[in-house]
This record gives sequence, C-alpha cells and structure tokens, in this order.
Amino acid sequence: MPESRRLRARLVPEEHLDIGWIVLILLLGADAGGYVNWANQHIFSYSDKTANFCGGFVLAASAVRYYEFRSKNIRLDLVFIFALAFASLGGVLHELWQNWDYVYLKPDLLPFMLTDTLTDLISVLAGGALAGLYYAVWRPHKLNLKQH
Amino acid sequence: MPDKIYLFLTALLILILATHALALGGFLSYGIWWLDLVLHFAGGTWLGVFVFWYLFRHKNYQVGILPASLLVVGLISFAMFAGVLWEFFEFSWDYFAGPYGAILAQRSLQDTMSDLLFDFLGALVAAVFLFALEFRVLKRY
Repeated sequence: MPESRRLRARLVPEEHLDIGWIVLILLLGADAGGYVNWANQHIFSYSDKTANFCGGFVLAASAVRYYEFRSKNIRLDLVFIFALAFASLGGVLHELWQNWDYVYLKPDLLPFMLTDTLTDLISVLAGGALAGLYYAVWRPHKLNLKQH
Repeated sequence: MPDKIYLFLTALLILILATHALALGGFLSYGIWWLDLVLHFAGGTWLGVFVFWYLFRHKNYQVGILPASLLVVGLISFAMFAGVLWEFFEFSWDYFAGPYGAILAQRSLQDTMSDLLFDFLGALVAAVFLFALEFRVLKRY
C-alpha cells in the first residue's frame, strides 16, 4: 500500500461511517427533545444543521455501499454524483415532510422557514458530497470498482 | 438520425423554456397559479429522461449494470439534485437581484416546497415509464 493511501486510511477510518450513525441518532434525539420542550431549541439550532449534514452523509454513504456489491463497472465521478443525488432525494423528502408539519402545527414560523429549509438542504448536500469524496477520492478501493 | 428520446428531450426543453420566457415576459402570466406547477412537473420529467439518455444512450452504459430499483431511485435522485440546485439559484437570484427590482423567483416556502414536490412527481413518472420500457426490452432478450 503506498504511503499516501496508508496516511489517508489512518485519517479517514471506516469506523467514521458508524460514528456518523451515532452522531445522527444523538442529534435526532436532541431534535426530538427540542420538539417536546425537554430541551431549548435555540441551544440546539446548530444541531439541526449538523443532523442534516450527518443524515446526508449516512444516506449517501449507505446508498453507495449498497451499490458497491451490485455493480463493478462505473466511473468514480459518477459515484460522487450518485452520492450527491441520493442525499438530495433524502433531503427533499425530509423537507417536504417537515414543512407539511409546519403548515399545520406551527404556521406562525412559516415566514422564517424558507432560509431554514434551504440551509438544511445545503447541509444535506454537504454531507452527501463528503460521502461521495470519501468513496470516489479517498477510499475508492473500498468499492472494488473496475477503474476507468 | 437522433433517437426518439433525444427528440423528446429537445421538444420538451423548447416547450418549457418558451413557456417560461412567455410567462416572464408577461405574455402568459405566473398569476395562473398552476402554470408554475406544470412547468416544474415537466422539468422533473425532463431531468429524469435526460439522465437516462445521458447514461444509457450518450455514454452507452448497459441498463443491466443497474439493479431495477436503483434505476428508478437513481433517476429520481438525479432529478431532485438538479431541482434543489435550481431552488438555490432562485434564492440567490432573489437575494442579489431582488433589491434592484428584479421579479422575485421564490414567493414563499409553500411555493418552494410545491416546486420540489412537482419536480419529484415529474421525475417519478419519467422513471417509472423508462423502467417499464427498459424492463420490457430486457425481458424480450
């Protein structure tokens, strides 16, 4: 294994996927706590974006890993775009559900929600981009793809 | 001779752009509440078909390299990615050009959400149709 690859393997261990899941579950717990006033939502406002980021990362990484054993013949730049695309789909479906919720439960907050929704989507895409970079640039050997 | 999918993409793109231009120019009006929804539905369909054409006609990947479920989810995902980028563009347009009197692109959160929903529905129709088409072709061989 070349030195650069060994260094990258040390910097971005496979366990980070599991860490992504754990952080996501913790943040979702905090988010749920905010909903039922167990926690102050203002304190956890950054947790919302971080949860979106982790959600995008975990969703995209899981989709790419699922794809790994189904096909071995795809370009790495397409893997990156696949990751972004999967994160987008998850993010949009989540925002559609969340904002539907706001229309009925918290209509007074609606005027402020457009920026929130778009920053949520940016966070999700950033998470998906990181997952795409992880597999397409840092650890392509994990996918065992045929190299083009 | 260009294939049918290419012709469909060209015709639909011209229709979408022409309608959008007419609406912005005041000949049609975005005051027709459903026009925006129809254009986003058509846009979602166009994106789904475009990705299919690009991967399997232009780049000549074999459809069989993808599991069927991934074909449908993948096409919708690519369309949603482009849809989200479009909404980012609209937000940037309003942010930077809005103060100078430009027509606002995003009227409200409901507008953005309905745009994304109809992008999704358009892409879903395209993906299911293309899946059925290709599945029939694959089954024949």
